[in-house]
Amino acid sequence: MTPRPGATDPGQTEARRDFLKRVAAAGAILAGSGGAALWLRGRRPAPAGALARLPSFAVDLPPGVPRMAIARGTDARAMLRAALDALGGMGRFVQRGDVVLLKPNVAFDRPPALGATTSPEVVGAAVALCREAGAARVLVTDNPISNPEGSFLKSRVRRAAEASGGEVLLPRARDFREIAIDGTVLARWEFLLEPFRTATKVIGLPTAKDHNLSGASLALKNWYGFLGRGRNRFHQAIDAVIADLGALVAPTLVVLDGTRLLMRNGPTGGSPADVKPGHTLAVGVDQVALDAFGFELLGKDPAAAPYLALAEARGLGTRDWRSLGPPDIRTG
Amino acid sequence: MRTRAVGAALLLLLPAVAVWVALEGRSDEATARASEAGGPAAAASANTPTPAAPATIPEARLPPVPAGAYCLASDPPEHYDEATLYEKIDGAAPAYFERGFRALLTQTYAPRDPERFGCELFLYDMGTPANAAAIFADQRGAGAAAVAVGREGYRAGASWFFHAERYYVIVLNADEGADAERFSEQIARGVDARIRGGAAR
Repeated sequence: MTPRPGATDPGQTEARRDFLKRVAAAGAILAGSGGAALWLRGRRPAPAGALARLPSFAVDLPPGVPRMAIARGTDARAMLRAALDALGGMGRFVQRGDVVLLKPNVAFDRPPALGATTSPEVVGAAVALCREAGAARVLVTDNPISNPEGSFLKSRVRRAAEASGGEVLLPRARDFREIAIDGTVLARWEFLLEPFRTATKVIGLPTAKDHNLSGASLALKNWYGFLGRGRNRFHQAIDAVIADLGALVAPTLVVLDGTRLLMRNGPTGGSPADVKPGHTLAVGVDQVALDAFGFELLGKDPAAAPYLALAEARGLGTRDWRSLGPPDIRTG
Repeated sequence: MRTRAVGAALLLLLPAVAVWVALEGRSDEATARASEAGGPAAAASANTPTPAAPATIPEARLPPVPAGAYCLASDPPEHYDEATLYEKIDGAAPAYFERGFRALLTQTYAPRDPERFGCELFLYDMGTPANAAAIFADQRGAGAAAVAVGREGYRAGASWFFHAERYYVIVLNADEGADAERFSEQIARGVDARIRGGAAR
């Protein structure tokens, strides 16, 4: 029997329906796998809002207390004590039971005499005064350019910190986490976050040294040492990044080590002839003022430092450090 | 028949998508790595079909280790090129790039006395003698004691500095004492001889 014209063969209908089902299924698989692949390839990190943020560790100073003090001499502990006394003593910043995180500059595996790292005498003095003020633990860390173990060894920072009752934390890969920075250049980056989980106070211990790109490496540049992978790429925007870091890290206190001054060929130095004795420490809570003072210690004009102008414009402090009226104490 | 043809075409599309995704991902990774190594310029060059091999300094340029206050460290010599120099000297690297830096070879000498710091040799290949002389002049401080090694050699403490041929040489030694100074001098003279020997060959 011949089918009527226009009539549909049931077998053919079944085959077409089966065909359409297969096409739809294959299309769904194709779209699904393609979409999943694209999602995996183009997956972006979580939005900045979902990332950890660094809390402020700043303390409020009562009215009338200077925001900066300078001490000159040859004994690091006596200088630090004298400078801090002008701000009310270490007890104003560190209380019993605090876990204090100290951040010296230990960027390179260089001996102290080359001036590329914070003086061990200053690190030791800072640890000792924190312990004296009742700190339960004093953690000392940095993320060096050179091998961390060698850097803390050769700079003698490890020895000085431990001799005074501090604990050196050598950074491990798992100590870094991406955090929200929300800066003008840095939106987010890997950061040496683990020590901040236990710290209740943060003290910067930068050394005063020349820097090939930013003019000087002082209090604000010191926070670079908390950044993780590939931080050298920021050298092309170093001024803005330093200002970003200044906005990110609100320390309890900063101790600027000017006992040795790397006057040229920074940040590494390389010759004892590049270093001169500074016999100076400055302490304070205004990082911009401390950096402006540090520029002058290095014989440079802070007004010529773009990162300081950026930091000041962002309200991080004043370049006119003299306007703070810092006591300038001689300790003999 | 038509069903099979369309089905086969769709199935063939799946590996095509996979290949495309893989190639795109690889391209992105290469760009990211290059960017991390050397910034945007390096990232741009990641697309260059045949990039030049990084320059390296032959380890034959390293002098024999004299007997004395130091011995060869257990760490092997380290090589750095334009993409990795930051890993050694960080923010000081651009000053070398501006002077034509090609490669760095370093060798560490461990002190026999653990209270000492040790000695490190830096051998920078600056591409040309003029470039080596320029970076040497950039970094030379005032008042250093002249020494007769390489060209314009000088020393500061137990550290020695000179340039020779296309190389800028630093023997970095912050230790004090006659034996430290003697060791640095022997290393400096040894590497100078190796450079001049290499040039003669």
